[in-house]
Amino acid sequence: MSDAALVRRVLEGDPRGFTLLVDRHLQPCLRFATRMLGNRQDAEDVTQEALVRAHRAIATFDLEGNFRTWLFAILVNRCRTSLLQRSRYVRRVLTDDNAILDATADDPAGATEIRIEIERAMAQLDPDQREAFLLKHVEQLGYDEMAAVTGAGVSALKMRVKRACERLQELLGEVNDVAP
Amino acid sequence: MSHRDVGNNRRPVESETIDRVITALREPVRVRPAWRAALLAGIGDQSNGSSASTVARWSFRPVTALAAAIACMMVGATLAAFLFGRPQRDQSASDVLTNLTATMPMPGEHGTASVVRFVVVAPHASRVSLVGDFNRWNPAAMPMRRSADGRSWLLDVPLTAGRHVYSFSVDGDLTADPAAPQSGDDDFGVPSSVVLVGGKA
Amino acid sequence: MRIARLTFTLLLGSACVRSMHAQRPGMVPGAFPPADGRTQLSTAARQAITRLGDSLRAVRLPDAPLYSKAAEGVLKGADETRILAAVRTLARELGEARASLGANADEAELTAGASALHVGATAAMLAQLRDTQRSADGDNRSLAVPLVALVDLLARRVPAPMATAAIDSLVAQRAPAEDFAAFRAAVKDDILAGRTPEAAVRARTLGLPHNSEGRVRAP
Repeated sequence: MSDAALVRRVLEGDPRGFTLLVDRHLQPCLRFATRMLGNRQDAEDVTQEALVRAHRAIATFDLEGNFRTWLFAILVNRCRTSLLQRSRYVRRVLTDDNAILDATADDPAGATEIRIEIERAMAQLDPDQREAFLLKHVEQLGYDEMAAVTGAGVSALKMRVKRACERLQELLGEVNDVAP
Repeated sequence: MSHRDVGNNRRPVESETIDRVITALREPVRVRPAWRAALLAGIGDQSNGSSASTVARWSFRPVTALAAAIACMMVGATLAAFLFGRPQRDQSASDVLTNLTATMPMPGEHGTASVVRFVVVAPHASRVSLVGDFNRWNPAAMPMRRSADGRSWLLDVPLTAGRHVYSFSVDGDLTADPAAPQSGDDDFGVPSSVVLVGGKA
Repeated sequence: MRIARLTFTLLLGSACVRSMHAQRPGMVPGAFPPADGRTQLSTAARQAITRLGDSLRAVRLPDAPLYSKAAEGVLKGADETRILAAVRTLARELGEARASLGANADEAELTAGASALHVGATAAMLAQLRDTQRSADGDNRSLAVPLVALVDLLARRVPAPMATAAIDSLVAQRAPAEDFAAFRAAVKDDILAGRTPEAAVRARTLGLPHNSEGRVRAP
C-alpha cells in the first residue's frame, strides 16, 4: 500500500494507518537523526518530535506529493532546531576501564574502530554539509528532493555535498597513509 | 572504479574512502521496541485528546472482552478483581487506592505489542503519570487522564512482550502498584511494580 | 587500501570532537529527563554513564537499559554512588547474559537474562536454558518468555536452582508462551494462598497431567 493510501486511511479515521507509516519510515528517520546529531538519545527525541508533528499536520499533506520528502522536511527542521537549542554536538566514543565488559564482540576486527573514526569525522563537518551529505549519500534523496526538504537551492546543495566529501577525505584519507 | 555524482565531478581514487563512509553510515540504526511503543502511545494519546480533528483515534476493545484474552496473557493484577469490585483500602488513609493493570491484546503491526491499561484510583490527586522502563522513568512522558467519574486515572500503553517495571507518580510521589507484584530487583530502596506482557516463546 | 588499524583507546575530550556547552548542565539531553527537582546527576556521573553506554554499544549490547536504570535512580532520589553502582552492575550483567546466552541473543533475551542474574540466577543457569532450548528447538525460538518467567519466580523467592529446573523442563517440552504464563500464575496463586515458594513450585511441577502430545501442562 502506498504512503498516500496510508495517509488516506489515517484521514478516514483508521488508527492503524499512521502506525504503518511510522513503521515504514521510522528506521530511516532515526538513522538520519542519529548521524546528524551524533547522539542516540537526541536522535530518538527529535525523531519522536518529528513524527508527532507529522501526525498533527497529516491533514496538510498533499496526497499527490512524496510522503518521505514531506516527513524528512519536518525531521530536518527538528534536527536543526535541536542543534541550535542544545548548542552542542558531542560525539564521545570512549571506553571506560571500569566498564566491565568481557562479552566477546563478534565484530570483525577493526570494524568498530572504523565506525568511530567515521563518526568523529562527521562531527567535524559543518552542519549544512553534514546534512547535505547524509541526505544525498545515506538517505539517497535526489537533489530536487533535497531542495524541497532543506529549502536550499540545488547548486548550493551540490556544493555542500562536494565540500563534505572533500573534508571527509582530508580527515579520513590521511589515515589511509598509515602502513598496515 | 566507481563514478558517482559528487558535485558533477568524476570521483578520484580517493572515493574509496567516501564509499566506506557511506557504507558505514547506511547501516540501519536499530529501533528500540520500547521507544517505538512509547512513541506510538504518545501519538495515540494525542489522538484521544483531540476531539475536533480528523486525526485517527485509537480504538479499544470493550472491557468485557478482556476476560478471555486475559487468560492468555501474563498480568500484573487480576481482571476479576476489576470486574467484580475489589475491597478498597481506607480512602482516608491514602489517596492511592486499589489499582490494577489489565492487558488488552491488540494485534500490532508486527504482532509483538499489546495494549496495557493502567488504572489508579486517586480522586484527590491533581496530576498522575505513569513512569517505568518503557518511558525512561520520565514523569512528563505519560500523563494519565482522569476517568469520567473523576475518581480514577487511566492510561493505555502499547508495550512490547516482556517484563516491564513501573510505578505511578501521584502528585510527584512515587507509588508502586499494590495490586501488582513488586519487581524484586529494586536497586534504590523504593519498590516498583512489574507487569509481564505475554509474547511468543 | 583499507582504513588502517586504530587503537581503541580512552580519549576524553578528544581534539577530534567539537564540543560546546551542554544546554542543561548535569543532564544528558534525552537520556536523563528532568526529575521534578529531585536528584540531578553531576557532569562526572553523566559522563561515566555515557561512557558505559558507548562501551556497550561498541560491542553491540543494548545501552538503553543503562539510561533507564540511571533515570530510575534519579527519579527515586538515590545518591549518585548508588546510581553508578547500579548502572555498572547492570552493564556487567548484560555482558554476562550474552556470554551465557550466546552472541545471537536479542535485546529482550539479554535484558531478561540480566534481570535473572540480578535476582539470583547464575550464568551457568542461563547457559543451561540455552543448551536445553537448542536441543529441543535448534535455537529457533527466543528464550525471552522463559527468562521473564524465571525472573518472576526468582523475584518471588523461589530458590534459583528450583526455579531454573522448572523453567528448564518447560523449555525442554517446547512449551508455548501460555504455558509459562499459566505456570507462573499458578505458582503466584499458591504463594498468595500461603504456600512457601518452594512448595508452590514443587506442587506445580510434580505429577502434572500430560496431554496427548506428552507435553507438560499446568492445570
